Amino acid sequence: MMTENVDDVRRMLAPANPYPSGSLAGAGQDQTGHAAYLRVTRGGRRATRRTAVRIGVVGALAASIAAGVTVVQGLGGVDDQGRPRPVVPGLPPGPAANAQVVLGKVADAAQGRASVGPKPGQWTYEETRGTLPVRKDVQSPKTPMKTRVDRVWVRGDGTRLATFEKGRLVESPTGGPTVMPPSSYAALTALPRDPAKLLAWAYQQRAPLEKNDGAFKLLTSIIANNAVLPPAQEAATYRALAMIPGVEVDRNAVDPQGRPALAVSRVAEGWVRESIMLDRATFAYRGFRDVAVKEHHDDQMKIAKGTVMAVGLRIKSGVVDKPGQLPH
Amino acid sequence: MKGVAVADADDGFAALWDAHYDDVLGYAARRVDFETARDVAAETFLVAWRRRGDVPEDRPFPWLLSVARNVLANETRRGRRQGRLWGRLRGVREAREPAADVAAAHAEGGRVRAALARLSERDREILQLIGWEDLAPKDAAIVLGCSAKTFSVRLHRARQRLAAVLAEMDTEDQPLAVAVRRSA
Repeated sequence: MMTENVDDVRRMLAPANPYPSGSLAGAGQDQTGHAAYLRVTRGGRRATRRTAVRIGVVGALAASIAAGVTVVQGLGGVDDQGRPRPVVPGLPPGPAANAQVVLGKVADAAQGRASVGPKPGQWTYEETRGTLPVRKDVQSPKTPMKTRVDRVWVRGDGTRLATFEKGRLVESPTGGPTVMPPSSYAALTALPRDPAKLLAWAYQQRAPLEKNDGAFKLLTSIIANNAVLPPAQEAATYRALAMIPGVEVDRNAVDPQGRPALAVSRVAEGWVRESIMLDRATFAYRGFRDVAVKEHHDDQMKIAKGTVMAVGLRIKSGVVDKPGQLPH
Repeated sequence: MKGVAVADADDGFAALWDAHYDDVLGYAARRVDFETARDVAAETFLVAWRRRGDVPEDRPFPWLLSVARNVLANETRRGRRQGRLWGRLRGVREAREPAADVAAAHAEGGRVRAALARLSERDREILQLIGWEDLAPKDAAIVLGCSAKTFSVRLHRARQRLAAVLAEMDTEDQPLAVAVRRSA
C-alpha cells in the first residue's frame, strides 16, 4: 500500500512541480551560490537580494561587513550620470572615448605584461578597502558610509581561501575551482583566451540578471576579484567587455582615492552605473564604484539618485608563499 | 577514507554544500519566489554551519530540509509582519492563481496545483515532500519530525483527500463549461 501511495503521489504531483528534480543543478556554484557559501562559512550575516548579487563583484569585501567599522560621510561628488566629478584641479571631465579602441589598448597592455602567476603551493593576495552605505533598505547620497579593509589569500589551485577575522587568520575551503565568478589563478587559466568565446561563456553563466548586465558584472568581477590574472585571459576579458552593448570608457574619471583614472562602466538594470577604474598609464586595476543614476524602488529597498552604493579600492596585490604573508 | 572525510570539518561542509545546496534551494523555490528561496537556502546552510557537529553524516538531506522548513516558516512569519512576502508565496494559499508559473501553462499542472491549494497545509507538505522532493517516506518523516509509521498513515489520507478535491473540481467545472458553451 505504501509503495502504491508513493508512486501515485509522485505521478499526480509531477506536472505541478515548478522546479522538477535537477532543474537547479549547479546553483550552489554559480555567482549567487558561491557568494552565499562564502557568507555562510565566514559566519556572515543575512544579505538582501541586491547584496547577494553584488557580492560577486565586491567579492570578499562586502561578504562580511561587520560591526565596528569606520563611518565616513560621502565620497566626493558625481554628475547626473553617476560619473565621478574629478577632484584633481585642472582636469575637466572629457567626452567618453571610443570603448572598443581604448579597451583594445588596455588588452594589449595586459597581454604584454610579464606573467607573475603563483607556482604550485603559492597563494595570491589581495587587499581591498571597501566602502558601503550603512543601510541596505533606504539609501541616498547622504546615507553614512562604512569602510573596511579586507585581506584575502586564495591558493593558486583555487581550493583554499584565507581571511582575517577579528585579527585571526582563518582558512576555509572555497567550494572548488568551479565557483562563480572564477576567483583563483587556476580557474582563470581555464577560461577561453579568445574574446568571443569568453563572452559566449559569460552569457552562458546563470545569473539572476539580464543577459548583458550579467556578462558585464561577471567579466568585471573577474578583474576585481583576482589579485593576479594570467595575461592572456586578462586581455581577453577586456576585449570581451568591449563587445557588450552599452559599455563606456571615460579617460577622465577618478579612482576611489581621487587620482585620475580610466573608468570602464555600464548602466545595469537601467539605474545603477557599475564601473571599474584602471590606472591611466599602466591600465592596472585600481578599484570599482557603483552609483545609482536614477532613483530606484523595489519591495526591499529605496535608493535615491546619486547614491554611491559601493566603492572598492585595491590597496595591494601579489603572490606569496603562504596565507598571512604580504607581497613585497 | 572515511577518516579523511571527517578529518576537516570545513571540507565536510563543502561536500555537504556541493551535494545538497541545489536540492535545498529547490525545496524553497517550490514554496516561495526564487529570490527569497536563495535567502532561505543560505539561512539553512548557515544553521548547518553553526551546528556542523549535529548534521547526521549518513543522511544529512532530511535534516537539512527540516531546518529549511523552519527557516521558511520564520521567513513567512517575518514577511507577513513586514507585508513584503504577501503575494510572493507560491500560489498555494487561498487558491491564488500562480500566473507566471510554467506549471500553470500546463493544464494538468494547474489543476493539481489548484487542488493542492485547497488542502490543509499539513496534507500539502506531506504530498509535496514525496511528490516534489522525491523523499522516501522514512526521510519525509524526519523532515516533519514524526515516526515513519505515522507518516505513512498521513500520506495515505492526504492522497485520498487530494483525489477527493480533484473529483470535486471536476464536478464544479462542468456547469461552468456548459455556461460557456451556451453563451458562445
